[in-house]
Amino acid sequence: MNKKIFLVIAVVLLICITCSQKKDETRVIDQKVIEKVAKISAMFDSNEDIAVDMLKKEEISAQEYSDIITAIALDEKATNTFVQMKKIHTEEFQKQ
Amino acid sequence: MKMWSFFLIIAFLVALPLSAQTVDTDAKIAERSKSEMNVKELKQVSRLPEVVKDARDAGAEEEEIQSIIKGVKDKKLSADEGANTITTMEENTRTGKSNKGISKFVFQQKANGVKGKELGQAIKKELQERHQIKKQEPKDKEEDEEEQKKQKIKKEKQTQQMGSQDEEETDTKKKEPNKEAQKQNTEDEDRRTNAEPQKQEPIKKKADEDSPESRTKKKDKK
Repeated sequence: MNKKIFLVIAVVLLICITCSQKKDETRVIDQKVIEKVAKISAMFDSNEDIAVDMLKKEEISAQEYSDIITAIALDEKATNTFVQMKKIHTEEFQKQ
Repeated sequence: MKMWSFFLIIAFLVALPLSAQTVDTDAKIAERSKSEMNVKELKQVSRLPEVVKDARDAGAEEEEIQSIIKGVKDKKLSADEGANTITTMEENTRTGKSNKGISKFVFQQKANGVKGKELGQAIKKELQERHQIKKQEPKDKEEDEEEQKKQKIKKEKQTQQMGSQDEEETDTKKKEPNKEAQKQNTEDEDRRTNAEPQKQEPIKKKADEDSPESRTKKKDKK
């Protein structure tokens, strides 16, 4: 009996691990995150130092930032929203 | 006891992947941000979605774009290299060429130690060479088609010639009996013409006999 239970639990665990890994790969990026990142990337075009400060304020590491941006680039919808938001923010920064 | 030990092992196994996904603490972020903050690279990374959007709008292959981005994510390529390859892909698609298998080529080149501008040049060369090969292939095909057409035309001509020869032969065969018939006709006419004077003489005789002079002569004789 014990062996059977152990086997079942092990299988369930394996399934859970694989599912979590897949979820991590195909997770949907939150709109707010996209907006934040778009704002920062727009700032990178106008002032790098301020952009770095923004990253620090938002507590986003460089690796996280690049991971988020690559995840956005992989998703078509997210890419389109990112580009739109970045445009808006660059216009704002240029006005300032 | 055994059951408890099993549960403990299971809990440990569950905790391992979850701990890997836990959010980093503030201190860790600060440390990483200091060490990893390469402003140039961050700038290049932030360029990536725009470049990707342009490539998608141009109609570049989604698979190739995705594999390049994944390469950047897995640090097989730098952000700048990835962005540059995607822009060259976009240019390539705008000229109506395909980018299939370019990501594999890029990773191979990168594994061979080709980097930066050299990598970009290698990609451009590869795409140009592929296009040239593709151009040559249709040329060869066209040449083959032309040859086939020529051969067909030759065959048709030959068949036509053969047909015309046969027709001529049949014509000649047809004509020959005509000639024979004509010959026969001419021979008949000749015969007739030869026969006519012979026949005319008795007629003349008869005519003479029928004429009033001959009658008078006959009467005189009597």
